[in-house]
Amino acid sequence: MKVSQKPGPRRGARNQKGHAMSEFAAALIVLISFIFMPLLNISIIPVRYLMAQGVLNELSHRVVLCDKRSEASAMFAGDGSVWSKSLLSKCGVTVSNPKLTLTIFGKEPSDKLVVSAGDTIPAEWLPDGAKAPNLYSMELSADCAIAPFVECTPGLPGFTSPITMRLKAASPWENFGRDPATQEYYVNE
Amino acid sequence: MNRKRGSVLVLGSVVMGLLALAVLIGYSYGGLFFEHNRLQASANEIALAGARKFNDMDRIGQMNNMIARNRQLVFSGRRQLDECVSKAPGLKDLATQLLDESRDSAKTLESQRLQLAVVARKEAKDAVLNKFVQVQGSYAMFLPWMKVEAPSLSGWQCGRAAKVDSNVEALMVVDDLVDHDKAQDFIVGSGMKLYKHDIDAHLPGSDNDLHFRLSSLPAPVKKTISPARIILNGNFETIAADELPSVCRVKLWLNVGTGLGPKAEGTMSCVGTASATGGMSQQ
Repeated sequence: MKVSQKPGPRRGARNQKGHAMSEFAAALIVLISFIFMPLLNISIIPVRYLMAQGVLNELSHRVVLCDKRSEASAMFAGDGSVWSKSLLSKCGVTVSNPKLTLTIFGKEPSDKLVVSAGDTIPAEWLPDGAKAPNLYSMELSADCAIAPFVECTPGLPGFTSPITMRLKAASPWENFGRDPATQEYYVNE
Repeated sequence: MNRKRGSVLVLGSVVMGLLALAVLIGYSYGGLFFEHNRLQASANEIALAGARKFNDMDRIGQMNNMIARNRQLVFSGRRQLDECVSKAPGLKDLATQLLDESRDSAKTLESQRLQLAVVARKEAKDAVLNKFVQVQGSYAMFLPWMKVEAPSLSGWQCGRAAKVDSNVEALMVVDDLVDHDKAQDFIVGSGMKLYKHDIDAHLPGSDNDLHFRLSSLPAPVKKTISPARIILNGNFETIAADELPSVCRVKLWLNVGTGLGPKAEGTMSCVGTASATGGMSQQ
């Protein structure tokens, strides 16, 4: 009686177990290193962008509630700047070069005047001036370096190093009264 | 024995699922910022609706002006009576009658001022509640990654704005009264000579029993009337219940939560503060 034997592995043949791992290891490395990690890294940028924009919007809304424009500038340079910078730094956003200006829009599309902090508004651009009625908007802008999750070298902005954007926020000026002490418009003080 | 084919597909799906989850968690937290801004805008809107009612039709401004002028009338009436007693006794009865009428007017004005304080508060409260009901309906939102409930009005307050005096320019016609007001420090020192806010400007002598309370309200300057506006919460000051209010402050609460990720349910609150329309120029 012949005893059939199971055919053993051929000499020199490789074991089939785990072949998927060895065959797809490279694909996995490519998937994780070049797709998953970069996607994960940049996915935080729009979230941080929205946070930074939200903080700037909030700050622009606060400064227009001040009684005088000089108080608005002082708030922006002092408490407001510290507040926004410290809050945003915790969210991975570095703020630099902040600027606060008053932009006045006239009746015509071409009528526009930008007044820097500390400068006074020309008489014709005041609420009772020749160019009235106008729209007074406090515009706040800052360079915001928004970092991805993980930073490394070489720096590729947005992927492995912060991407810098000039963010802006604007709110209409609120106080159109006059100061009884000086009889000037609060927006011009 | 399990098949090995398709394992990369499973792995890829898991990776992409995790990625989507991470993005979703991030956006749910970003959504909280937007909800906070939205709640702040609603609080401001509601406060403004209430503040606009305080000085509706310039009633507070006119009340302040009537009180200041009546005060001058009482002061002048007393001086006339004193002069009549010494120089023209025949006119004493007439002078007494005039003084009594002005004194009665002062008492009537004080009672009307108290009544106005109640009416202005009630109308402002109604305006606040009406606006809140309008705003409340648009809030509730339940998404898989974020839930927002309807806001609640936790309270509202009446007060005045810091550094805002009364809308009444000091009456510089009667020299003795001007001297008295300066001595009593009733008048603001610089710029327009306005009466200070929330003072009871008692008259000297026998008319000291009368009350002449002037409330805080932005004054018209060069015919410019200060419009109702949102102000910083830090500029809110509380007043007594019988004072005429010019600033409204409301506080809103909103229950929110991120549906995914670490449990982040909580209540966010926002305070809105608004100032009433300023006084109009006196005719």
